[in-house]
Amino acid sequence: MQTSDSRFPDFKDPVPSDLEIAQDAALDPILDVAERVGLGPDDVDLYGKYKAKVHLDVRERYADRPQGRYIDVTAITPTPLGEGKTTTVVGLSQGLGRLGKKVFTCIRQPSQGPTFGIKGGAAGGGYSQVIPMEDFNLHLTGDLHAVTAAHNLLAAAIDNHIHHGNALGINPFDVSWPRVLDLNDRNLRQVVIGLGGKPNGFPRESGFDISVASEVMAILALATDLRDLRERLGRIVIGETLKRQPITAEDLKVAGAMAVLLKDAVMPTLLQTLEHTPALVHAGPFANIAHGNSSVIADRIALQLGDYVVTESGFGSDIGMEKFMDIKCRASGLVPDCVVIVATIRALKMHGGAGKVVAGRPLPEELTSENLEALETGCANLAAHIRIAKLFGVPVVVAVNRFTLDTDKEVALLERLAVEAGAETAVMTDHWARGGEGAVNLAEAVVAACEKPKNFKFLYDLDLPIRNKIEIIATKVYGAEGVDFLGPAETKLKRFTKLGYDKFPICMAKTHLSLSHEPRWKGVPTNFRLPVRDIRASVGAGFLYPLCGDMRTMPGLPSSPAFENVDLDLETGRVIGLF
Amino acid sequence: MTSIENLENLSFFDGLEPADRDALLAISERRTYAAGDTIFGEGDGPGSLRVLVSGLVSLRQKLKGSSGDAQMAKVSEPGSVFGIAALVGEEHLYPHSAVTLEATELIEIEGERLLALFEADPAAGVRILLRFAQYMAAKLSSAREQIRSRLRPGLISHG
Repeated sequence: MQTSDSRFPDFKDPVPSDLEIAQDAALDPILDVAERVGLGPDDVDLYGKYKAKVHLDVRERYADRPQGRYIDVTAITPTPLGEGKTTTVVGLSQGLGRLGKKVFTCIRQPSQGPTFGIKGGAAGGGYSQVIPMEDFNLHLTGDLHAVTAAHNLLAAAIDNHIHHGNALGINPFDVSWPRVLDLNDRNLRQVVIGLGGKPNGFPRESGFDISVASEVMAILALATDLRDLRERLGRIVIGETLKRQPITAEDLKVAGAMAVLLKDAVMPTLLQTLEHTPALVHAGPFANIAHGNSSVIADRIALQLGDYVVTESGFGSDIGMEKFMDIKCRASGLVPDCVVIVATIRALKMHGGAGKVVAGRPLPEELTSENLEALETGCANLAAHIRIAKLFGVPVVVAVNRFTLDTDKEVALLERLAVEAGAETAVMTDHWARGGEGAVNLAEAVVAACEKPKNFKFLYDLDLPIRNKIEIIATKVYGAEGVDFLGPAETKLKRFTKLGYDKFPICMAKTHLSLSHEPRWKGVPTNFRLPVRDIRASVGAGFLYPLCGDMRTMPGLPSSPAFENVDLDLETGRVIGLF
Repeated sequence: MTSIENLENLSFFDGLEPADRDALLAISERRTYAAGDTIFGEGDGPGSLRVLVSGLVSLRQKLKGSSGDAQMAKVSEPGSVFGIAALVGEEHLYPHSAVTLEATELIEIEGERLLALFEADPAAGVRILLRFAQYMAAKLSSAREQIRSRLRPGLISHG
């Protein structure tokens, strides 16, 4: 790694691979990055020269400083390839940096599942990345492993308790706490544990989820401080007794040890962008099956230290952004100043019926050649996301993430239709090829939008019955005509209301590939009813999650997984083929 | 009697002749509900026909099945008409409940007063009932499309 003299990368054409750009980058020592935002050596714990954990008490030190502007970046309904949301988050941050603003990027740590599966890493792309990219996409500072360990410690405590006499009377057939692993492995979705006779425990069916879907991860993201984290861990409900009383992690006397495992993970990790602006990395992705937002703690620290904080919420506005608003903002008390919706012309043409995007295959010609008719039809999807964002009373800016084959006519049409649909403005941005320089227009638009009046409001009142809250999300956000609560869901509605869980917000588990529950329905689906087949409670995290359609909490690997290209250069020790 | 103000955009009224609209409004009441209010319960009756002016109303029907209870909810948006059972349902009982999801404003017309209007002015009655028929036909068409989309190959899960 080089040491930085120049502030900005030397842009190359054609743009090299993400990994090449990241490995050629000149990094600042992380202590220098920290110093520029007012943090001294005693405010951080170093993890090598380019990574550091930020202490939680820095917030109090800067408590008198006015909070920065808070920007959430979301997207249209994405293709399976994603539409460059994280790249835009980083590009926008670098663009704000170019305007001389004191900016923070707050993003989530990627899961190794997608990194080695279909999607690849999540550090951004091109000249808009968080670095060191290999560390960011793999172990980083071990937060995901800590979450996995804490989760599995609770799982072990449950089976150990049953094995040693089951004094609490846990119903072994009603344990809702699986084990987790931060890899895609479909064979672990359903397993039988405890085989091999009495010394090996009580045999029962169980399963594995991916670690980022763990309630522990959700707690890490929503906790406001160490005390809140500890209390939420204690409230986790793992199942019921034979007399149908909830059993908590506190009952099993394991919540304290879980908190110990998370004592370092509770601190966000400070990294930098390619243009040396600070980035806080914390919590995990998967907004379709979890809430998929970066942490409240990271955002609060950043808002106290910076003038502009750019964060992202997973997938489209119907998924991550709705949860950002209704779950995360409720937990944090923070209010966003602006929402940025990332749109790509290829995805909108797909929504207009022009072709199909399949991961691992080249894009069809319909999506790579000019097609104004399909784009105009597909812009209905963009309009729906603008409408959804405006439900929360926040100004909306559309970022058109430009790809090489997009034509000027297509960009102009998209910009016009976005404004007609209610966006403050729509801006073409070229941060992938030109870093912050390519996103200055977007940064200026966001600065202007942050000064617009806002009338922030949640989508629903927490005091409404569970059923009402789900129906409001289904109809006002997804555009469903109604909701079908199938057998188990109907039973859980009654059960959770009786247990007092009815005041929780709702964290819908729904496909991210459609506004509806059916991934094949593109554009703006109408005339559909949302099936809710089950509802589960994350009492520690403090939300209920209805399962809409077939949702899997442990992904599988594709026929050609991304890991096939990954290796080490044994001469230099560098990672190769991560993308 | 309720006023005509802001009702032009409600599709049901938009399709009526001005005289018929006035006649309906003369026997109607405009009422507001808070979020979460139950307007009527499943099996309640006799009742009123309702036109949603603003807000959201969830129309819910309980179902019994071999895999346990279920519930369907259809959410009505401004312009929708519900409670038609007040006119034509079995013993004029509602087959579903109606619960507001947010602050809601309704125009309510008592079923008995509506039938009395039809008896007093049969020609107006025919025109208004034709409008109901058009409205119901559109709803049936929408329901048919939903069933058709669910029956597309591959959309039914047997797992």
